[in-house]
Amino acid sequence: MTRADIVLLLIAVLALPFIYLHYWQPTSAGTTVRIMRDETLVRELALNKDQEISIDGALGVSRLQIENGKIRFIDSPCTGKVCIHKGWLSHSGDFNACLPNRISIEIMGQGEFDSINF
Amino acid sequence: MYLRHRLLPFFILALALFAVGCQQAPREYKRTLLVFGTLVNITLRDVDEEQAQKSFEQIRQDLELMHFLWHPWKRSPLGRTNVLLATGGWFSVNVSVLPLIEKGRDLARITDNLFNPAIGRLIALWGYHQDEPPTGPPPTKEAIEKLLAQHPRMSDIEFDGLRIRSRNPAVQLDFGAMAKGFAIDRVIDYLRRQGIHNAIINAGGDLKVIGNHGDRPWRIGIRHPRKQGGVLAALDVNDGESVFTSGDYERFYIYQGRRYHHIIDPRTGYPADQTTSVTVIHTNAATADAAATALFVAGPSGWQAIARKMQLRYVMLVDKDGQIIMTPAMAKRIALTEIDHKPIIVEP
Repeated sequence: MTRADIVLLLIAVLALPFIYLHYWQPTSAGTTVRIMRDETLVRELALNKDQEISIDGALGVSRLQIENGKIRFIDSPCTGKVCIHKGWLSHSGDFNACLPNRISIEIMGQGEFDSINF
Repeated sequence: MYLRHRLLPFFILALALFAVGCQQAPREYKRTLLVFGTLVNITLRDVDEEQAQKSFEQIRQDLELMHFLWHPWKRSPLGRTNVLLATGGWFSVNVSVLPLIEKGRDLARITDNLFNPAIGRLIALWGYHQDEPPTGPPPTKEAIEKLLAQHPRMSDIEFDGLRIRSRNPAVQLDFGAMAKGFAIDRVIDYLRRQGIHNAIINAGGDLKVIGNHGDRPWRIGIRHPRKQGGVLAALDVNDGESVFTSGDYERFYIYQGRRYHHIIDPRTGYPADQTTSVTVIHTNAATADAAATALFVAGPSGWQAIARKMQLRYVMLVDKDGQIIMTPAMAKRIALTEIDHKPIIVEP
């Protein structure tokens, strides 16, 4: 074997764990949130960046907060506030909506769960 | 020998590239629908895009129609049925409503009327006959007792082919604790007829599956009834199974510091107060739906009698103090993620 062979061999062997981790390893928590208005995707955001977002809905503006890998409604122009009562979401497959304002959110990613029962 | 050594690195590189190549996007399609008065999430696997989009549109149309047909208080076939039931006379019932009434009658009987879809007036009195949850105040004791004294039951309805009547004019139908399950069963039947082998549908938190998620079963989390954003348990769901949970945290209002939720005990006329949540697994979603409500109402002391009559294998109940009680069959397949107290495992 020449030196070039050894270098090539090393690159290939070193690449394997990276490729495995990158493509095969499931992550434990949902990684992004899809925000939809009237079933149409408005934004898809990473849950690892803390921020507040305002989304225009059928009745007015819904406000969402992302913090520490979780998301929740903090304000919405509905009367029942069901969306706010539900609180934080963080698991993949979990979802919440402000039905009167036609805004929904869903946690995406190859997480632990395909869906959440409640 | 020399040649083999020269080829080895290429061989390993090829393997690495193969590992990348295997990472094909699975043929999985997801759709969120705002229908049936709730949020419906559907995931289809191993279908082509055209079939997935066609199925999503069909499901939307089906759910929109069923929502209209079975709406208890709007101008709908069920609304008309309620108007005519109150007259006490015989009438021809809309054929789209009849299967729901028959299934509701059977489930009311087997649950000793703890699931009682004839108490529509009581549900309306509590303010749950509107799209938004009520804000209170709760109804007066007199108003509740007046309705209870009329004892509306499914057994008050007489059947003669397509014609029905109620011997009791107080019977008003509200299938809020069964219609979603009944609808999910129809959707899953439709998907099977379309030749779809792997799917999950979640309608406002309750779900049913076909097949599996590739090389593993569909895996779901059951929301913790008290810890916001928390998951109480993990569960693998098998082909054809539905999982329904009734909880006091889903729809409620707080009036003067007291919480009033939407699961009304037909015996007392008040929200059932001994239970926090009940989860039931059953192959029939309508049965799972009604069972979760009936066992919630029955509470920690009464659930076993109903579960026995219904021949339920998989039940988990969380009582008002957070104590988890479950059947041995449920304990075998559920993985609790947060254990505050040791669960009680008992046969129904």
